[in-house]
Amino acid sequence: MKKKLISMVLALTLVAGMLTGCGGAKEETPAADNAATEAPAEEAEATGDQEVLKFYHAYFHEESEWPVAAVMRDIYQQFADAHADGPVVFEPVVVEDVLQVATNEIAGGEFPDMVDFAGNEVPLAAIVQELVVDLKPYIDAEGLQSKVGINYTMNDVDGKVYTVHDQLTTLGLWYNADLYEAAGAATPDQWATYEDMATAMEALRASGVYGYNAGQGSERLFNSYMAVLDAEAMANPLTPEVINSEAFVTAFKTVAAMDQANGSAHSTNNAGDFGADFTEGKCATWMNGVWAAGSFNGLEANILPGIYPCSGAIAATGGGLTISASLSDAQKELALEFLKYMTSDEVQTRIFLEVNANPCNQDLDLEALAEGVDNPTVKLLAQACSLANSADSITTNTGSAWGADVYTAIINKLIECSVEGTDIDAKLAELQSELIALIG
Amino acid sequence: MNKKSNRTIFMTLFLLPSCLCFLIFYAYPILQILVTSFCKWDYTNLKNPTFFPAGELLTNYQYILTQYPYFWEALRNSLCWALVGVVIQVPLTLVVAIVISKGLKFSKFARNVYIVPSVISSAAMGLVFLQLYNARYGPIQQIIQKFNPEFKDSILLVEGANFWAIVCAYVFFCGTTAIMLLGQIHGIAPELYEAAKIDGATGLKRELYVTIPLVKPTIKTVTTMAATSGFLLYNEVFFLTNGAAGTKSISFIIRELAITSSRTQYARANTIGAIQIVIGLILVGVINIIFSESKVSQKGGKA
Repeated sequence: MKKKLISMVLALTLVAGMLTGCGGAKEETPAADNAATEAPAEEAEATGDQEVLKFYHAYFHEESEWPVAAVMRDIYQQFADAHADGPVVFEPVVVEDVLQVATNEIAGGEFPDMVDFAGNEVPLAAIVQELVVDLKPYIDAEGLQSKVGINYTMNDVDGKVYTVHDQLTTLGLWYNADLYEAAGAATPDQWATYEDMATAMEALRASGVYGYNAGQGSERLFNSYMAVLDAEAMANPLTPEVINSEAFVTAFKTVAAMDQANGSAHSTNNAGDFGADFTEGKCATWMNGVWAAGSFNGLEANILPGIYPCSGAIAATGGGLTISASLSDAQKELALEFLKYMTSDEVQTRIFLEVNANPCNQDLDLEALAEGVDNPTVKLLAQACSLANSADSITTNTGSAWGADVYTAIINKLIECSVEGTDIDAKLAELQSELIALIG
Repeated sequence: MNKKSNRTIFMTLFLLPSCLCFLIFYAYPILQILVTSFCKWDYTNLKNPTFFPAGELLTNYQYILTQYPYFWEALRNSLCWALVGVVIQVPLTLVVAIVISKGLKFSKFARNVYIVPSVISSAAMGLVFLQLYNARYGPIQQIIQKFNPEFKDSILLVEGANFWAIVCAYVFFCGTTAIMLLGQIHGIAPELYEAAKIDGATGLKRELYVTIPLVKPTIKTVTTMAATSGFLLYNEVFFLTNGAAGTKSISFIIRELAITSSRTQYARANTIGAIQIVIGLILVGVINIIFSESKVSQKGGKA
């Protein structure tokens, strides 16, 4: 009898547990929120009589950890406060992995109200399934072309612009001028060709430091060199013709040979790994973005920005502010107004001065802005942005143009080439066949 | 209602939640993986996977087996890691469990030290090993350079060596399985050891002829766990090499296709998943056969 009772209790507990687990407690998940946005306007999620526009971003960091995040949150909150009494409430929502949030929604044929992809590409599925709004008519109607800058051309997909990133992912390099001088090496501003760079790296190695961070860093060299050799190829989806082209072969072999001389100990798939070596004077050149300007505060070394050989730079927009196509008219209106706000001179100035990023707005005179402040980081950032913005060849990044899997495959193959004695021709052949299969 | 039918009802009720959970969380996803491996399902039709035409049902399999550049590399690595798990991890775990079971001084301390890494996630362990192998400041690099001062490369990028570097990042962490074996060893009746002692089986013989045969069912379980965890290896690959230099695993390429690829190739990823399930089942089957053969020969010996 006792056993029977215990069995009954256990069985009931398990059933109850399962039912609770599968129960309908509705937390405020993005999925739940999005369901609301898909509903007709009158049924949309509302606070009293107001609708809500949820804006997902990834500036989750504590101010002490990354002050920039607090600045961005403040920018968002100011917009929210300014529209607190309007028909739609603007609600910034912090998530750690904004791409994952969006991807999960997209997999179900939906899209969050509004998202800042922070440089990650807008998933193709969102575009193909027409889940996101074409921003181009609004940009044209409001005359915002110069405010959104290169977003207008780089994010053009068959005549439509689905995303605008308020900051550019501008990539060049940083170098320690003291180390270059000590080694008697030509500095990046003197590199007319990749041979010049290779010679400089050799001189640096002879002086006891290593030249640069390879892997993700040298992929950027490949990216830039490829654009110098064949700008058209870098601006379009990858094709077998490009993979087998002379430009591709030259760019890869040139960079791979430099990487091998540089050594595999200095190759990883994360350029950030080398920040400490660079600031400690072990690495002479750090292939990284302009945003790293803030990393050199208090350093005695003379750190300067540079661009890649052949006057090349990378300025990608990536994905940024992206709006769901299933919003109500009022929500959509506010979302577009937010886009205008984020690309306005006022906010873009804050992005430059306080976030220390390269703003997308082309109407700003960055050097003039930097002169007006007594902040060495801003001055260095202005210098880096001006250099990159005035490069002869400015291209988007490989990930944006050719896809993340292609980007990773190139990095991996360059890393493999950096091992002493590796047959670069054989690795190139492997890469070519891998890429042809990947795009198939 | 008689006693027997009452018992059946209670047993059914008791098993029902587990059965439902199995159907919802295991059987359905497995079925979905198998079914969608015959579909076109990528960024163009995420909401509506569609079957390929009858004559082209195997399109995804054809792509994965004949065109996708990383499949065979990943399969080879995953199978090798599964084998390494069986050949190295299981004997090691058994030895550790037997030694700890002796109740020597500090054995409790040793047991706890051995178990602690098991409660750390493999992702965290991956990061730890990334530091250990760091070519610029990692201790492993320095040890290698003691013996070979000319070695300047990153061990994680040297093909062949990096396979073993990844092995070392997971193969020694088997605290959970050691505890399983330890529990089984402690369950062996002391009388059996006493009888063995009278028959002259002491020291190593005692372990070979008494302990190991008696814990064989648990060894089988531990072997299955070691083989499957090696076969499913992901975190170590992701953190240590990100798949570079010939180190991709089956789990890694599934993620590559489904998540990393801008084209969200769910169906192709599921095709590899389907192959993974089939090979996983074969692995488990082979382990069962190996252990059941031992049983037959044991019986034969008795006869």
